[in-house]
Amino acid sequence: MTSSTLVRIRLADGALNERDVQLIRDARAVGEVIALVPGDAPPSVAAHAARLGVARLIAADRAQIAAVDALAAAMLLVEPDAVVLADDADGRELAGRLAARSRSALAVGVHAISRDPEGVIAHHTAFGGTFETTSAATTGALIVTLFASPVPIETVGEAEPLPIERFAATEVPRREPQEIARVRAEIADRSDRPDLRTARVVVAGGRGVGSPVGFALIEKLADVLGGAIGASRAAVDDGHAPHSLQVGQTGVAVSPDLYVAVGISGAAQHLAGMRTSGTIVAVNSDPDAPIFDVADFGVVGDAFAVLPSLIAALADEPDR
Amino acid sequence: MRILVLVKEVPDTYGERRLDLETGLTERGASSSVIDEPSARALEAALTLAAEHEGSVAVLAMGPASAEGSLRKCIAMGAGSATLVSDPLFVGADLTLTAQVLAAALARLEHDLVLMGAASTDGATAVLGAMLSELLDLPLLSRIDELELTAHDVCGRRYGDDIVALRAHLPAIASVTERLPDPRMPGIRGILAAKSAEISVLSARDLGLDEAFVLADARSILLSVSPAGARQAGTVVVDGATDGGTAIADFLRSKGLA
Repeated sequence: MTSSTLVRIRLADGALNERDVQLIRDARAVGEVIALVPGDAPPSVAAHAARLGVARLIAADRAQIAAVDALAAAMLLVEPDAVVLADDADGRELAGRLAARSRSALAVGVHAISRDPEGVIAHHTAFGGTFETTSAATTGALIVTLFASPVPIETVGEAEPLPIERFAATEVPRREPQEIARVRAEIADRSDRPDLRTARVVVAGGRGVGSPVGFALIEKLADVLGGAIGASRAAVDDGHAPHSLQVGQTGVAVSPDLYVAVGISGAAQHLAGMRTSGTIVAVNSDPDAPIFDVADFGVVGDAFAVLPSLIAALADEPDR
Repeated sequence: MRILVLVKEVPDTYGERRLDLETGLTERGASSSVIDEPSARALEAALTLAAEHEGSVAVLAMGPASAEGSLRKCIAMGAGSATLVSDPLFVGADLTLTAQVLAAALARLEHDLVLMGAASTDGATAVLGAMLSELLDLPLLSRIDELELTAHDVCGRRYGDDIVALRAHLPAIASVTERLPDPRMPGIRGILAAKSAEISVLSARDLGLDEAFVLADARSILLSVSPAGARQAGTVVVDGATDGGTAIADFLRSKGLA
């Protein structure tokens, strides 16, 4: 039997969700990709899925059904070696429910998957990136939440749109909380700046730039580099940045190609959230700051002098 | 109102945390074990809510026998009783087994509301709440930043791009974030009470579980453990005679990052 991976894809504005689409690339390397889309997915996703190299496209025969019920039925139908979901809050919760319901092995927060003759292998880092581990299921499908790298996926060229195969799924009654109110938060990141978790460049500010002026500089550097903004716990605790921007042990873990740490000392809790970044650049006035132990390039100096100079230097395009 | 708090004991994030390269298990000696900060916040919330509702707070943890120490700290903070699930059979339990064991324990302990940290600092998987919700068919309010309790309902607010308010009838589970108030320090009375408190210990057999059960289902097993490549310190330049900003720009360009 061909090895297959069942990938859960959500929709956004009637099209395949970007973050979930990244999973297809990683799943392609491990076997045949069977994509589960919501029951109300429009036919237009079929062509897109085919171009992404999906082998089969499946959906429950009902437009509205709890995600866990659809996934559980899909697992029984397809008998995959692995079930892959995006590593976000929704993906993790769903993966947990599915593993509990199907009594399957679960691997959460995985950064890569591979396979060997016996099945799918999940690759993790532990303790803030200080250890690398691999795990697998003793039997059955491994349920995985995968943190897919934000590298754009390559399409396989023109392909016949896939039929959406419908399967029967039964709804299992479950006790759920009710949503009694939902209000758009007033403090929102500008929508044109990349999302912190998936950005390829992150510029993060710490206590050393803890002021509106300091963070304005961080924002400006982020914009010049086309990156997202992050903050250390100290900066968030001091009220200079919202919690949603916090990088570290109790915030978001990121792994961009470039991480610029400004006025951040580099305490273990912060490193835990970014030490797997491709390249780390640090600016700090303290020559003994631990951040310099992990930075590929560091400048000891006043961020309020270094950053404007850096921004100007980057804005200067060399003559071509 | 009976509130039960799931408490996790973890290696201190301020200490060195290591995995044994042979077994893949956390090296217990590497640093001291502490009550996970998210768990402590959940306990603090429970103590406050119990006081408001003339209720009781019990704590439950799964771990080695040494985890009793952390449970005593919970009693010192004000928890009325503590239960430790401990058995050699559960050493190295994966997520699914952990959830099944805790569900079996919860089925034996009375509770109207189960509180837990939303994500732990040692595994940060943030899935346990969902797994318990599924196994016990209890509604789950997850990643809650503000919590309220009435005689029959639990309400929570979650802050994100949207601020969402959720409500569930009791019994229910809520996982809480670090936005909740700081945990209180134990007072001298609590510390003395903790010394003499009786901690109930449940073994696998007490939960009706045996080796066959552990082996029956699919389990996630570790295949390999290795230390990650340590990052090396790179070039450090002092801003002054050399312009630091220009130096960074040159470095970034040399790497194709700008």
